[in-house]
Amino acid sequence: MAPNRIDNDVKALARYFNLKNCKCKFDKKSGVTQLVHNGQTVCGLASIASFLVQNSEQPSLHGGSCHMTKAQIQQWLQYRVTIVDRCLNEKDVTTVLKELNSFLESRVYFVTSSLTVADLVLYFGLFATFNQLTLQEKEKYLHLSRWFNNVQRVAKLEEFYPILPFSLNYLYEGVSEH
Amino acid sequence: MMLTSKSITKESIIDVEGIVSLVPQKIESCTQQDVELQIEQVFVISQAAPRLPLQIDDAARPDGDESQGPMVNQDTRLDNRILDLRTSTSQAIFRLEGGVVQLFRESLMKRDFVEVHTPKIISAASEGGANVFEVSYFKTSAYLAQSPQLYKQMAICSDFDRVFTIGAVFRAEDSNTHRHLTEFVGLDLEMAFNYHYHEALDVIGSMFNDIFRGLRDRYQTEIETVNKQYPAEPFKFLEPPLRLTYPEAVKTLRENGVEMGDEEDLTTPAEKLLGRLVKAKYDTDFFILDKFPMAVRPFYTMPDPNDPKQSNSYDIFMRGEEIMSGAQRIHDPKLLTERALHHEIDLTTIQSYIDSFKYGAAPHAGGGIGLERVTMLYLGLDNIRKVSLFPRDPKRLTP
Repeated sequence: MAPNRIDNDVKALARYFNLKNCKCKFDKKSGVTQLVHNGQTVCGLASIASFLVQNSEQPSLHGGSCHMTKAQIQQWLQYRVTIVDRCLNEKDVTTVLKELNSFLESRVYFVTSSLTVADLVLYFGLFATFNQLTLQEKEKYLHLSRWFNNVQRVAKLEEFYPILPFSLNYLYEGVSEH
Repeated sequence: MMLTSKSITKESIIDVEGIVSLVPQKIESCTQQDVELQIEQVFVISQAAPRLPLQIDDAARPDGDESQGPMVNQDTRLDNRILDLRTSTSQAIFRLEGGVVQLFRESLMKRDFVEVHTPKIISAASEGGANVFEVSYFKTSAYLAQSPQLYKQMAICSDFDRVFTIGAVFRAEDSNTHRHLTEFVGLDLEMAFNYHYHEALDVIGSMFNDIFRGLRDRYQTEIETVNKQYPAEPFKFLEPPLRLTYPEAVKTLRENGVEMGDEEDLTTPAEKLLGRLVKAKYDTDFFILDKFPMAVRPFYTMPDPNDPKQSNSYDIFMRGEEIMSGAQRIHDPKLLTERALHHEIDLTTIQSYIDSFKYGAAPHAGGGIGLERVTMLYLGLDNIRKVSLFPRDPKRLTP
């Protein structure tokens, strides 16, 4: 994935958590995005995300005090970096979409029942794919689309990620792919 | 006799003499399930060749049912069309298609339309929209008409008031799609109106509803037979037909993520999406889109007197695909010339067209539909070749 995409994600996260005095840059030598805050440097999207959450005023976004939740969030952050960002071709993307869709069949958010940083980071990662999907394809991944629509409205990060259209009606019931 | 009957080849025509008798159990594999024929004599009238290019059973098999046997692909079917047409599905399709023509006629005749027939060999490529076939005509050349538009209008100028015509239409487009043919049957109508072109649009809408109602009421068996092989959702329509305006449609599409200008034409994916949105909102597969922008219509379209950017024109859709593009036509020679010049059309090629309005012409409007496309969309089929008896496309001239 292009480095400036991760850049965007980090900036969006920093905006969301309202963290002052932080700068984001891409270190060409090591090939990772870095966040510099008050002298501290944090590398890599997953670490940056955890760091931002810990230093923010919204502790619930990193799972509160429950260790289980914290661990799950970490796993999803890793999922984003290792799997979502490494999709090479269409088939991989379809596999990821299918997997996430079935995971969200009975869940409102990825971890617990409120927004966590895992949701945000996955939302950023899937934005490019969702931007390209037709309404018919979005209806195919019904649960994932429902989650995406929910997060994009709650996150309110429109200047980084514009709101994508979703239909709230079944438009393609009984229609084969055309 | 058993031995000789077994050697009669499949698809041979035979005469059978026998006694009709009751059966103890229903015969599941026949249409007549309660009786059978005890055969006394068999005569072979016409012996079929032993090796058939395709098996009727295979051609009648629904898609995806590979376990029962092989499928026949479209090219094989079309190359051996006579055999392919023997399936009960094909028989049903063409009976229904005949019904569409009959209902079209009935609907218009009870509204005082006169049926006329217009020439297909013409001297100049009239509309300039679609491409035309050229034919040699004694010492010069002529063209095959790509629509009866010009002659319909001349009939109105001949005081026929309301006319319709059913005939062949030839389009020399190298389109190799599921919904285009180079030759198809056009059902066209044109009528003079008194005050507003919506008088004509109302007639067109009622005509369609008459056709759909008639198909639903009289051809239910045929529809079910076709659905056995090609399942589809039943066709839904509203009474009176749903009518939306172009600005409304553009607004709806924009709300669903389609970016388009106010005076831009609808792309095919946008049309399909609009069809789905209308279906979800109004539960109809049939709707009329009125008030198209002038910028995307041909030169003979009458502009809206209240807003010069809009036109008195309309498109009609079935299952999200366009089946008719119609309009009020300009009947004033001066305005017509102006519009033609605006579209940079060479006036010499359309001089006789403009002249036909010189001796008093009533305001009129109309439109034309393709028989095959309407049948295909009514039945929810995926390819227009299924509904054309011996289809013609850029790659097919036989049978």
